[in-house]
Amino acid sequence: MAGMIQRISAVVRKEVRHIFRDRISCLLLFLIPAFILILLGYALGFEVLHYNVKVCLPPGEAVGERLVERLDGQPKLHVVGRIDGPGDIAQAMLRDNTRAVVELSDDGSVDLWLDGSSPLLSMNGEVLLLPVVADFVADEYGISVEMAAPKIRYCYNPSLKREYSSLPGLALVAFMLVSCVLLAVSVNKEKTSGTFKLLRLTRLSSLELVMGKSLPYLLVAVLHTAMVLGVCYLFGVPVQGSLLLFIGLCLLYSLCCMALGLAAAAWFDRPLDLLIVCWLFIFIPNLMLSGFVFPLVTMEPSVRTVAEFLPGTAFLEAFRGIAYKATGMAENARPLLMLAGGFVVASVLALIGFTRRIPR
Amino acid sequence: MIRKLHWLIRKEFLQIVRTPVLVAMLALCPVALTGIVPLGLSDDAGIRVGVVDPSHSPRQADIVERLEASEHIAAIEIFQTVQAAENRMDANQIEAIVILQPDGGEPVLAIDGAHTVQAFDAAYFTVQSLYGSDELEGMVASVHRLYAGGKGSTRYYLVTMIVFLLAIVGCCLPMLSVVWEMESRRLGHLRSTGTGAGLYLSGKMLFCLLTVLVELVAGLLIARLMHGLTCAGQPPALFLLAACFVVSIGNLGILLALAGKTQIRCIYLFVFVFIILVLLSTMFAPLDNMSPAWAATRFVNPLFWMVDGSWKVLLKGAGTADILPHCGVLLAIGLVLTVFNVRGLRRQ
Repeated sequence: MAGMIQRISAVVRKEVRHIFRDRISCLLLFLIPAFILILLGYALGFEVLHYNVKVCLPPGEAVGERLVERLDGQPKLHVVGRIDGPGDIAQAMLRDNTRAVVELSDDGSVDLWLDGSSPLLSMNGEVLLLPVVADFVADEYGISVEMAAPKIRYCYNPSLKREYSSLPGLALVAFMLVSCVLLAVSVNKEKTSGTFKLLRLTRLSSLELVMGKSLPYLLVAVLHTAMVLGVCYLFGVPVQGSLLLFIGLCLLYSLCCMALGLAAAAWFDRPLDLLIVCWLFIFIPNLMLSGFVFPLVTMEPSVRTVAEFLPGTAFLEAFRGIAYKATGMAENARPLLMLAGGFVVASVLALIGFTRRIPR
Repeated sequence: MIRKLHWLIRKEFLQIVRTPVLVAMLALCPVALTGIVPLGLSDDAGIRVGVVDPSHSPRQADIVERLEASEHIAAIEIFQTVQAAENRMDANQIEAIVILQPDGGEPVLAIDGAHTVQAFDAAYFTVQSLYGSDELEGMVASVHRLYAGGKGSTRYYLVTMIVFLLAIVGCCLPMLSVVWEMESRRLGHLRSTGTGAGLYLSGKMLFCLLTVLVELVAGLLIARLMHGLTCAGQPPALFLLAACFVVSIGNLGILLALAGKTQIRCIYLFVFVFIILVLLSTMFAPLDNMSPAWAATRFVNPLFWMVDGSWKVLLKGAGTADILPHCGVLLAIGLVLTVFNVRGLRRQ
């Protein structure tokens, strides 16, 4: 046992030196997660901040000016111009970033023209514009319309903060890139340069070699977990549930990504093949189908079944459960077991690959 | 000159054909990105709603009937207590809870806010099904949606996927080709035959252009056959836009190759640069959701101009004149990158 630990620690030392020797890999290991989590966390959001509107008004009527004032008074609505007639509506939406046109007719009727090419934005536009127009019609023409306004309470995220949506997804991307793609590329580098074959000539077993290569990346993952926690507090999204369970989730997901990367690196020899496998079969499905970009409930049942087996989906589900809903181990048993299962399967595949493809 | 270009393009073609993995990538990319990934999209919100009615009021039947009538509500469950419903929400089994008041007042909606896009959908469609907002809209204002024909979300993201496909192929292909020639010293051999940096780059870009246009046709065909996407505008405008896009994204790939020098470093750089460009390109988070400072990064992001122009041509029916500004910016970015690349190649 002592000999095994000694051998593994020797590989770990070698790997740490490798990482710190190459400035680019060193920079990327620490820069990518920081950049993705902090800067993109500020940049990305699924909440509309400014909605550009143009107006089409009857000539020379003061009522039109009051409508413009009313619209401009809303924090998220920006009146960016006027058009002469309904014939220009389509062109207005084509030329610039105009999302809606409010048309006021001579008889006081109002038409809302929304850019429906993005359904999410057109829904936002309707929700933003209808109450303003209802108030305006009530004030100007005395036609009071009872807007149905049920009390809506958003559980777990009362103010619908945008970071709640982007943060888990960005953590998913950061872990996937570093723990999976960069580790796979690093192992591949050893294979292509022949170092791996040399190492296999020593007393190191496949397991020891793989553990030695992976441990420094696990340490990097611990740092990234601390970074995710720091960013959660920076954005005012504190972890509501057990901190220990949250850290455990991040490390388990990172281990699962590392095992996937190792499995890919074990079975594919050329950097190009590896790049294609990592991007097409690991990164893109986890980014697109995990529920980060599109909610899982909107997916076709067959695709949803596949999506539920992805490590990214399990990570997002457990992240939201632990961090936002303060749920415990029992409620998150399914995603945690999925991640553990993924780790075991990918590790076995990696070990078989290394043993068979790089024999002693 | 034209003869030399012809031989350079032929060389590129042979290099691709001799690398089965690249051929597989070129064949698989359109199938995966425009065929399989969009299967994960549908326009049904698929919301699962819980109704809490401890008093078993007659209103419950009316509420359930209204919810059942909505195509966006996938399942309805009745609960005796709010706690029971919240437990189901904790376990991600429902997205919205309609809590009926014992005094007959307006019901309270509790929405799962952990996923904001889903929360917005759940609130919008639950309110719409309970209150029949179509009638209400008619009383306040007439609402018209332009360009919303067919499947809204699916069409929107299909266009995104087509641009994603072109970006991957357009950037990766010249990058991998140049870095491979640098590592195997073929670039030096080529340069010693009298092939200038400009000519070498032109050959690469022309071949990349041809490949990207073939990928565009494949992507459009798959999107049409599998998801019914049709081009609302002029297809030549889309091809013109794609050609201008190749000038910028292909040169970006070559710049990464020249900066990285080895395949491994190139992959590192590609991952870093590409993720940032994609996430800031408005492909997934619209421009309207970004603060002005972040939104300003679009001016130097070729992916933004390509995706914005593609949405306009494919969904809004734009013609060549409408996308000329997009083409201009893409060409300008491409020109700047070309200058860097020519200098970089001369130094090799």
